[in-house]
Amino acid sequence: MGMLTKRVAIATFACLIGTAACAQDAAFDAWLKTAELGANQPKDENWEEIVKKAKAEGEVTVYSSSSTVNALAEDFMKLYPEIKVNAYDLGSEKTIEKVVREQQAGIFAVDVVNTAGTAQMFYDLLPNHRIVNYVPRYLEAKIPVELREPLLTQVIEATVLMYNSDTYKDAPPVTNVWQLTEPAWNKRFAMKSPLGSLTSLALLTSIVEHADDFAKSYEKYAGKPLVLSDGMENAGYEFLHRLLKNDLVIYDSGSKLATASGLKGQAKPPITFSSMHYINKNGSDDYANAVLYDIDPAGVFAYSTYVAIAGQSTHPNAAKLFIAFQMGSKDLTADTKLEKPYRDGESLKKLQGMAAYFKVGTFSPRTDVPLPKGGENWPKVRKMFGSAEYQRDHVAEVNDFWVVETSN
Amino acid sequence: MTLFSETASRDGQRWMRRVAHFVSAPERLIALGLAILLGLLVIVPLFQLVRETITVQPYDSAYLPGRQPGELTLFHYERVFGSRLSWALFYKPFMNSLVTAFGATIICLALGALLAWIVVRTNVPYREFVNTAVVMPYMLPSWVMALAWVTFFKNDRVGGASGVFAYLFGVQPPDWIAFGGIPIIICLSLHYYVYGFLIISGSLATVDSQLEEAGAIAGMSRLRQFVSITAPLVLPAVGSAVVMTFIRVIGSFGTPAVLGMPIRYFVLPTQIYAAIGSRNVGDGYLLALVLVLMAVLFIWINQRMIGVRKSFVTMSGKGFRRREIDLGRAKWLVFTFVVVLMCVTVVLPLGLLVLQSLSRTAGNYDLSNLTLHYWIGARGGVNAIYAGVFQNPQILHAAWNSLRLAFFTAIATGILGFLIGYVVVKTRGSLSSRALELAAFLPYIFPAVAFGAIYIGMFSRPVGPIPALYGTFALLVLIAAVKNLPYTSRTGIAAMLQIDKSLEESARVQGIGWVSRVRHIVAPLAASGLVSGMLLSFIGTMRELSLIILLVTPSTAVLASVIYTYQTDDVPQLIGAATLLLVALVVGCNILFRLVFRNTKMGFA
Amino acid sequence: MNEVSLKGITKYYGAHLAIPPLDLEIPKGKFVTLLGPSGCGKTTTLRVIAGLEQPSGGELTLAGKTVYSGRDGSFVPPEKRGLGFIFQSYALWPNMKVDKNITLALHQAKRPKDEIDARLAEALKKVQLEQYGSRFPSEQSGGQQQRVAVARLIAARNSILLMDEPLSNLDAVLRTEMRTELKRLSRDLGATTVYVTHDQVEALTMSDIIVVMKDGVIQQIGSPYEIYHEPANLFVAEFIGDPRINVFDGMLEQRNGRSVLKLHGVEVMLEQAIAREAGPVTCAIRPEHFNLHETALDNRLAAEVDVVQPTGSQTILSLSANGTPITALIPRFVESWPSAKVWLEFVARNMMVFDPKTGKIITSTAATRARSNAA
Repeated sequence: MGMLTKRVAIATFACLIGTAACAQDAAFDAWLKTAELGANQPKDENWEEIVKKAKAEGEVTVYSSSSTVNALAEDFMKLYPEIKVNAYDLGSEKTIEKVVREQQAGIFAVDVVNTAGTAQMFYDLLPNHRIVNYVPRYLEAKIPVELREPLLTQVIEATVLMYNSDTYKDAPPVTNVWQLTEPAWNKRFAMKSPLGSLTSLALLTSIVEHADDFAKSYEKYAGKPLVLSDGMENAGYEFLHRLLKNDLVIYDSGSKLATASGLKGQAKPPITFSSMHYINKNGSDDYANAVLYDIDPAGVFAYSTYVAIAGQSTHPNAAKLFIAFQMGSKDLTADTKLEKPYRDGESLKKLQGMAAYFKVGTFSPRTDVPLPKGGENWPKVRKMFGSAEYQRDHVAEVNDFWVVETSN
Repeated sequence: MTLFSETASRDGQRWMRRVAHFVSAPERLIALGLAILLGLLVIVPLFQLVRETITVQPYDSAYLPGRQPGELTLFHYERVFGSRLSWALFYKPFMNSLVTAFGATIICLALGALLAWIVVRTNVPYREFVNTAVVMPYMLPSWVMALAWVTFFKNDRVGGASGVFAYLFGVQPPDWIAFGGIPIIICLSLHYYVYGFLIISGSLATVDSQLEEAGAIAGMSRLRQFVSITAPLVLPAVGSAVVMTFIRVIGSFGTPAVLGMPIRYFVLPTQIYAAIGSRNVGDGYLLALVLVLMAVLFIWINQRMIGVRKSFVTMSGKGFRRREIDLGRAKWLVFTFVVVLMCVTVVLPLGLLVLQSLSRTAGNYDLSNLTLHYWIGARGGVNAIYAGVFQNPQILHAAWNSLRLAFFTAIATGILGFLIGYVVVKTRGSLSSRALELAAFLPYIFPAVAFGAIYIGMFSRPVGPIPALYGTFALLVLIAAVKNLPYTSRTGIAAMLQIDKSLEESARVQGIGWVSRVRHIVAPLAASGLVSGMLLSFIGTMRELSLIILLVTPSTAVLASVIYTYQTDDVPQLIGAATLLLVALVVGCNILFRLVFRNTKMGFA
Repeated sequence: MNEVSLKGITKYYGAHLAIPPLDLEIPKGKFVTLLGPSGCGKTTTLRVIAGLEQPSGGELTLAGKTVYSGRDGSFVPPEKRGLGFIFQSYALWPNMKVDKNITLALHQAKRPKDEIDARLAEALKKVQLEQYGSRFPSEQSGGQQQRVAVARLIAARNSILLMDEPLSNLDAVLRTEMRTELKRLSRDLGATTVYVTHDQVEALTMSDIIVVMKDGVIQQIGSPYEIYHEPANLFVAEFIGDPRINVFDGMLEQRNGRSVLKLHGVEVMLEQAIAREAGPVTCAIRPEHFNLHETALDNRLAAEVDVVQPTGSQTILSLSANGTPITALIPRFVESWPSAKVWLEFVARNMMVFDPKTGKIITSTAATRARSNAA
């Protein structure tokens, strides 16, 4: 009841100050000042001071697109037991929706926003002051500028084409993506539905964006130029169209995909579009997933998962501390020796928030940290990145395309 | 001239006195207050809903470059009803909604009527037990059946662990059994038949057997008696049951979400959820409007056909003994039928969920695979990501939220029911009384998901004096209380009608003021009548999903919504355990309430 | 001085006029009964006095204070009128024990505790319920509940008491008993009492003044004696009296300055002349006012004995004269009538004559004067 009345009181207050947009902006600017964020971020941050204030704030609420956030929260509380972390694993779309709606309603419940979804994050949340970019000063030199501006990338993730290396021991079964549109792979290609998953939608948009590469691959594969079907704008759409025609199986959960392609002993295992980090299930669940690194035009579609402080957060210092923690200790170097289990003892102290993510498929943007075992080739892998502008302008279109194509 | 002005001033004075007199009567003041409140909470949302569908939404910027949010547009109508997307966005879900809703309504009515007849008119053994058993599904959330269905029939279509069926027989059940329209219809029917049963049995019990006996003496056959005497008398109740079942079914979200969304079998509520979830509110609101219009149309048709008014929400759970039809030996057969039904609707689903909650690896039902992890295990043991329900702060917090929400909603139900009942009964026959009754009835026409969609739009920003309530717990209480209004006002009015008006008048004459009268006399006397309504809204709110799924935020999540989110992650064990926790809470609270208010007559709504 | 005064009070329910302009003056300390068949507006009138219904027009004064005036719309709500009221249902609050029922209003009025206790004890003693203070109303018999309602009235010490058919839910024996008690209560409290009933026995036994009403209109105001013996019209005559008054169609003739009634071949010479032209009239005579004879004589009406109903101290004879049913009442116990026929003698002093069109009583001016002198 106390919380309820408090919320209502806050909401009422927010309503009063929110009557005019400029008043809202004023409130935001004032908050930036006291929180020492944005332009007010000091050249030299006093971390003792921040930690002290964070402990006084005592609490931090995180909305995240990934379930790993629970482990992350636990690790944080091991180091800072004075600060209670409320971590919510909501998925990318819900994370963004809830942040926007809550703030529209004048509720500033969330402190740290941790999600993928480049287009919304860059062009909706950031300009509308729903979030503020925050990079600890000591990390600026260690992260390439495109991975910290306009928003800090927490980890680089990737959606990859996975095959079963148990069934195909000698060589990958396909070398060109267009093979997947052939009858041999009918009902044997699977991916997650983009409806409700921003990362999957981003993946599709990224394919459409790189239509030219797909067109070239087709020519290489078929020896003739691609003929677009009715209504298909480009080779990217055509590729998706043909996948769907070939009875693409759509899953509603990512982990199920890893199971589908990775389960050992299958005669005709499917190839899947999975999150790269599921490759780690090979160890834990004895799967046989492998990435099609060498497929034409690409088998790795990389994207950023961002972390930012929520606009007008009520625990800005705890949020700063949480982000700093999440990005790993400043003592890390490329040669730091780390022992499993990472989320314990000395390793945890060094990796801090990176520990839970220290695996293949969730790579730190920092250039000064070691690569996880099995991911040493990451810097050299051929990857496709989607551009933020293209995502912004075409996500809705791709979404509608998908709705139409899957409705028949 | 002076005379004229004198009259005018006297008229003015008289008018002032009238106003003063009006304001001095508490019931009129409350009526005015309630009318304003209900107008804000019930009628404004409807206008808001229509407005949102004809204005540019922020999400539309990609489609309508250069247009500012808030400008008038028919874009959503074109998109939903007349574009290449229409089939996917509207027509197909609409057809699916019609098919599942009509299918389920027909089965519900047939089953409900049959059971009503068995309980009220036959000599089925253990009648009391049968009567209780057939309303048991009411205690469970409607989607428990769907979860159990998935547990049993899940095939490899959507990946992940297979169901019990595949485990037992080694064969994957075909798609049409595992997911889609048919399982949705079956699962909805096995829950919502209770409404038909309660309404029809209540009505059947009030048909005096003497009427039929008179028919028999006049030489009518059994069939003839039924057709010309019983059926016409029960018909209005059947009409009400049809409307009530249809509206509930077509607004139902949980079951089609569990059984339809994995294979992209959308119905309107799930389509609304998907649209609002991706912030494409224009589509979502328009679909919600379609749902509302369908409900209104359905009520209207029913009224035209049967001419029944206001009986939609009146029903009682009492079953009178009437002339019994001797079933002979068949009575044990009938009894067996009821027991089997009970097993299918209650025992089996719960059993499956227990089994599911105990399996270490999902889909493996070997004894060796049993674990208590998903009940009491800490994270990192059997499952690295998810702790058991009693170790899981998210679930425990949600359970606490569920209890709080149900409790506050029940309190709100009690207070609103009291006020509405008081005003309506005290001013019976007046315009305000009728207006209030109508306004309180209005939420009935909003299917639950549509109502949630409207409220999300309405309370995302401050509206006049009401602050933006999105993300607050208060909003959940508010919407649950408002959606309950049709039932609330019924119980309130019924409770007030039981109080002889002389009891309050007597106090008035003795010089006892309004506040004291309410405190010492009216409220205590109405309380017993209101308690059963409060219990019903408590139970109903505990298991509510459709209404609040769009409105919950991480910190205000309730058990039902958390279970739904787990459904999209691949942890069936946790779903099983959390669902059982919810069922245990509902049943436990129900028993507790009934013990505490032993002496109060309880019904179902 | 008039304690309760209604001037031109009207009451509409929607378009329906329940009470046409009504004037009624009730003197202080009197026991006044509003009597009439159901729907005659007596309860509405009582509720108007109490303030539970707001009149549509007119003026209402209680103890010299205007509590309602249609002219300026002023209206004093019932809680500010300080009246005592006994409801037909007693209106005991079932959620409170007897003592709380009696003292709630006193508590609400913030009376000192000593005073409340004293009044409670006194009230319970008066109704002989000293032992029952801590019981719930539902644990008591109908008579006891009635007494609690009375005790509540006693404790409140109001100067105006209103009673709405308080005895109608009691059985015959209790009713007689409570009748006596209520009359005593009213007398002891010295209060002005307005009592509503449709039971003429209650009205006759208890009242100082009876107001007979029909369709919202007062038919007659008078003492029980006047109402019974000198009804203002045929309605009152027929409504009061059990068994009912006998009514005949008759002819009035004027002979030598005397008025003569002719009915069923019998002539009755009235004691006082009636100033009215000869012609048809309606005559009435109460059943106990016949003289019964065993033998035929001139000017006696022959009637066949139909049914004999002894009620104890009296016997009701149902007779038939030329097919006209007549009721006679004789003051003794008769099981069966010895003969098949009786001869009825009409006593002129007891004959009532009514205008057949208006139903109003026709009396001689002299008689009226005599009556008013007697009063």
